[in-house]
Amino acid sequence: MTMPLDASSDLSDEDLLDAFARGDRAAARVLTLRLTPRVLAHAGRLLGSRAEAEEVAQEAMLRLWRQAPDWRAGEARVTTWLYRVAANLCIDRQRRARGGTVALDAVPEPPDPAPDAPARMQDRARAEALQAALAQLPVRQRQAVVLRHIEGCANLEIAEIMDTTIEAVESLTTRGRRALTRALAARKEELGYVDE
Amino acid sequence: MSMSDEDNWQEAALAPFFDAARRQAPTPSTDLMARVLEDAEAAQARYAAATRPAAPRAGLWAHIRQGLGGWPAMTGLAAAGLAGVWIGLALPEVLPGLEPTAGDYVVDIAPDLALETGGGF
Repeated sequence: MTMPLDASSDLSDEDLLDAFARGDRAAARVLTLRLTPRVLAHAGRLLGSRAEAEEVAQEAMLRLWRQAPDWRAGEARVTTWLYRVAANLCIDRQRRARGGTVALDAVPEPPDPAPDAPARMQDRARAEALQAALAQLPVRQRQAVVLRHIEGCANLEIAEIMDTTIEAVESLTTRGRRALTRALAARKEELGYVDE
Repeated sequence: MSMSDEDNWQEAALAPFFDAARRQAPTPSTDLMARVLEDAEAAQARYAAATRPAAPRAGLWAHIRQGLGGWPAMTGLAAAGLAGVWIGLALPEVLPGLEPTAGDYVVDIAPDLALETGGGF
């Protein structure tokens, strides 16, 4: 069975996963196009390494493909499940890595900015500064801040992803924001900090 | 500044950084996308194979039938069997023209066998 689908298909991730499990190759393409960038970005923000983020993204997607026939509709959102799997893979990697530190040159590679676009250059500088500051946070704070403020998840969903309470999520994001503010304050002039 | 005011101020101050991070999200390489899609298709192939119904096992009767040459041979065999039954039931005990007469004689095709059997005890 195939249906005319593209990356902007109106079907939900859950419906697509159901179609995928029934052998729909178009659904496989749409889910790949839709979800891989999100998992890659999330893993990159948690790990700070493009190469490692790619490996995590592929592994998380592979686990999704294997889970598809047993997916129980209505139990969880696909993105919630994926963020959780990706974060666990990232945390496992960091635990295995010596000291779990992130090399300064290992921040995700953003798309090449046009050299004559100051706004894009400022965006890039801010994204890199934020990534460096995120790398200094304890992993749970980093995860909560990224999910809340970059991925745009609600606290309830974050609690589900992180297997904790909403109160704990609020505490983690608050502490994370304070630490980020302190870390970025030193570069406020350079980055146009609180200048908007 | 109260704690809540401070939190709000921090959120507002950090917002441009979070926005920049979203805009600067990495684009997956075509190689990564190809690997993910390859995994997807391999997974689909695996569960298609796992859910395909197994062919029913051939029974004893099917083995016998195949051993004898399949249905055409079975039809011939059945016809031959019926013909044999019909011949046995319908034909007279002695075929016309083949009744034994006084001039007939019997040829002993194995005289030695008869001798040995007769003299053995």
